Amino acid sequence: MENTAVATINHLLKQFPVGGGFFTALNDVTLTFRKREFTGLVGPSGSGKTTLLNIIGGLDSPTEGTVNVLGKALDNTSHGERALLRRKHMGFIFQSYNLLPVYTVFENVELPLILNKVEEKERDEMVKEALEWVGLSDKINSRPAMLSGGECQRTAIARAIVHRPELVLADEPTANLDAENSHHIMEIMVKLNKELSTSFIFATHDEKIMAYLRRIIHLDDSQITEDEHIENPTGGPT
Amino acid sequence: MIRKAYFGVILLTLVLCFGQSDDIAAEQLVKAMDYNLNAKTRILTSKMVVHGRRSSRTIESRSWVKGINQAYTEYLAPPREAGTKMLKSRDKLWTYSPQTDRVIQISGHMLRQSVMGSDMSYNDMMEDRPLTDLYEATVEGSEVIEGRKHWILFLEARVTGLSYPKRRAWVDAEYLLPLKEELYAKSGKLLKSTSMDGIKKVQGRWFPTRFIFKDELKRNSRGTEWIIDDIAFDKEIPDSRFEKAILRK
Amino acid sequence: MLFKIALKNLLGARLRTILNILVTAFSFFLILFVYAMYDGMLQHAKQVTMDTEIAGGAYWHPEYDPLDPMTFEDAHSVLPEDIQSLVDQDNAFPVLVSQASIYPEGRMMPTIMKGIPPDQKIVNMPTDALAGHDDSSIPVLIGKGMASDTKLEVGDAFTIRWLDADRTYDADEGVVVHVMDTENFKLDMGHIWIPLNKARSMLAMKGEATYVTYAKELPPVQNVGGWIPRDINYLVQDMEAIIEADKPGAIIMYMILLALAAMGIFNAQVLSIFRRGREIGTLMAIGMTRQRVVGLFTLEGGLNAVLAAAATLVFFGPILWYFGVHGIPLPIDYTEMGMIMAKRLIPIYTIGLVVSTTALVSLVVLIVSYIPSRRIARMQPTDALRGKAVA
Repeated sequence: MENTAVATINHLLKQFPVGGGFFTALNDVTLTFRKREFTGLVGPSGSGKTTLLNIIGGLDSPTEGTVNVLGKALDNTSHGERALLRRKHMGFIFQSYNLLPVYTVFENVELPLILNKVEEKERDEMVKEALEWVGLSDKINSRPAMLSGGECQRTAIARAIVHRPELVLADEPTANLDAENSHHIMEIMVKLNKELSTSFIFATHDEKIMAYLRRIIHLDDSQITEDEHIENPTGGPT
Repeated sequence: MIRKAYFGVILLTLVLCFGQSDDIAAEQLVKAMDYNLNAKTRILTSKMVVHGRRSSRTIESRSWVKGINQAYTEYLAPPREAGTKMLKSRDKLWTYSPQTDRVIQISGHMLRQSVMGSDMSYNDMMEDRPLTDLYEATVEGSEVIEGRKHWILFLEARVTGLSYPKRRAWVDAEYLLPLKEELYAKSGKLLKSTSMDGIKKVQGRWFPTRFIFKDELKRNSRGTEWIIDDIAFDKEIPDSRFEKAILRK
Repeated sequence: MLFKIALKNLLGARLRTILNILVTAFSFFLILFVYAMYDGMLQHAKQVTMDTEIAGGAYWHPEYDPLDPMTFEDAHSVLPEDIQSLVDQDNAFPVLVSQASIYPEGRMMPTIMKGIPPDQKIVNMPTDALAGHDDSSIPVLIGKGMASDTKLEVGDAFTIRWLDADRTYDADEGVVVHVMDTENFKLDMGHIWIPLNKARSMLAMKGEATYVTYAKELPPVQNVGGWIPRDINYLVQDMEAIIEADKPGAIIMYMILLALAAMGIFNAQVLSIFRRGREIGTLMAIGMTRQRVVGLFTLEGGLNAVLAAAATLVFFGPILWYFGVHGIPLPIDYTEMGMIMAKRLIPIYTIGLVVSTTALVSLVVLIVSYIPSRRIARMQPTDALRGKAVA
């Protein structure tokens, strides 16, 4: 089994200026994420999970420490290089779906392929395949306003994986969903993790998600308190 | 002085010999008119009354005239015209306006323009070349006007360049002044008429105190009156009076 | 690629987009229309002037200044040989100019008296009306404006007084033989036209002229004998200046309109960026660079100009076409105001006008779209994702 690291973090410190001083969101975090991992960053609100996710995704920069993602040292790259990394090798899933409201499901999912300058015919095939994975083939021409929460999040998942990224970062993907949809979403992502060998990193405090995770990194008050590996996650509704 | 005496004698002779007679030499008559109207120098205070269609304007001025080529006038009233000055030297004319504080030369062509909107042109006002130099005279007859005998004198231009090539004058037999005159175009059409009254003796000569000019082509025109309040002849006028510098003093 | 996304975003805004496009299209239309109208005015005025007055150009006596009547007294002489031969070949006609005073109904009016050959065919003036009259009076041709000012009609007699070459006053009766309806005020206001031979005899200026007008497309005369050649460009320059002088007013008007349209687009852009922070963050998250996002929003705003151009064509095109064909009737006679204006103004649309107007509107719209979009470049993606606009 491959043991390639998709992300390596060493002694990460992240501080935000607040008033006259600083707020420390992450303090001396050292982690390695490997290929095909299905990992969750778990902790209460304000523990630093989203901040860590954003730094891994290149959307934010560390105050100190090194961050290496897919062979790129993020602390030493420009905005443009990080954007390229995200475009080609990463996918994002957000709590509020963040679909573009004027686009159809097809067009939303197609967007990363357009940015990667994929030819139209190939784009068409890849989008349809991605929508099949998430079970939305019949909603191709619908706009987000016409979809349920679960359907919106599935569209977001399809968008996140349509270009076959190595790494998908999901920030509270089930926070706005009911239990049934939450499980459905997780089952899709477990399937994609297996079939596409895509690594998933979640930021969550939803216990429904934790049942599916094979690694749970506990964060509390800006520090890692526990890093547990789970051989056979239970998954599914209890 | 001698010249004055000489003309005085001529006048007297004319009056005595021809005053009541129909027979008079036209040339002599014109010379007599010239003598009465012209002088070496004139200093006068006058009022010009311009009659418009709806109202009249009165402009007061003081003038110094030397010979036929030099004239200087200062306008005294109304307030809008007060301070305006004009200097004529040969065929050039300059004006000064206190409102703009500028001296402007007006071309010779402008001498034919109307003065202050009146029926008189600058030429009419300033040109005093003797008629004997300019016209051939013929006595057409006589006429009694208001109880006074007048010789009817017809004048035809003998030089070119005169505004009015033909004129007819009714000359008072006693005053030897053209109390009425008609000015004609080349075609014979009546263009302007002038009349004089208020005749009085000034320094030994008869002189009118009021002139009336009328443009006969304008219908219902009441013309322009030029009233001489005060006049002195042959007084010494320094040359500086006719230099451009005087306009700004 | 950005274009498709931008277009989709723009069309997705619906009502806001429609309003912005309509306002911009209206500015577009007005700019085109006003400029085309000025062009039309100028072309018409030039055409009328050439047809009725200047033809191919003129040769002026060296003293002649049409703006200074004082020069007329001296501005006349016999024609130089080469110019005379143009006249003899019927390729030109001489005009003798003099100041005169007329007395219609006993009122004095200064005028310019021009002697012109009745049989000339070079300019479009009814000079033939001056032919075939007896010598008992002076036949006079005047324009409608002059007739109105003087209250004269055909058949009316009035006194004309003039100064001849000997500086002597003369006067005679003139009779109006024709009142011409001309758009060229310079032939009308303050002018009386009489036969050239009559003028020469009245003024005692035998064989003389003040200027000579020649036919179109004639080569210039080599030996002008001191007379001054005046080509068409010189002779129309004062008219061009009048029309140009009026342009700033129109420019201000359409700049105000363009500013209104620009403000609308600017506001829409600012609002758009403020409301679509999450979208901006998402675009960055899925791999769009900041510059590209800036470009996207700028293009979105800039597309307003493209759509406005299309809207102008669709909604205002028929109006522009209609006026281009039928013209705009003018309610008053501008010849009294000293302007050569047709009774109907016909705008002239040129490729250059359309292209330059499109470029101007597009540039303005692009600029006002770009300025608010710049702030995206300073946005943190994480803030954008949280829906926080830049402070």
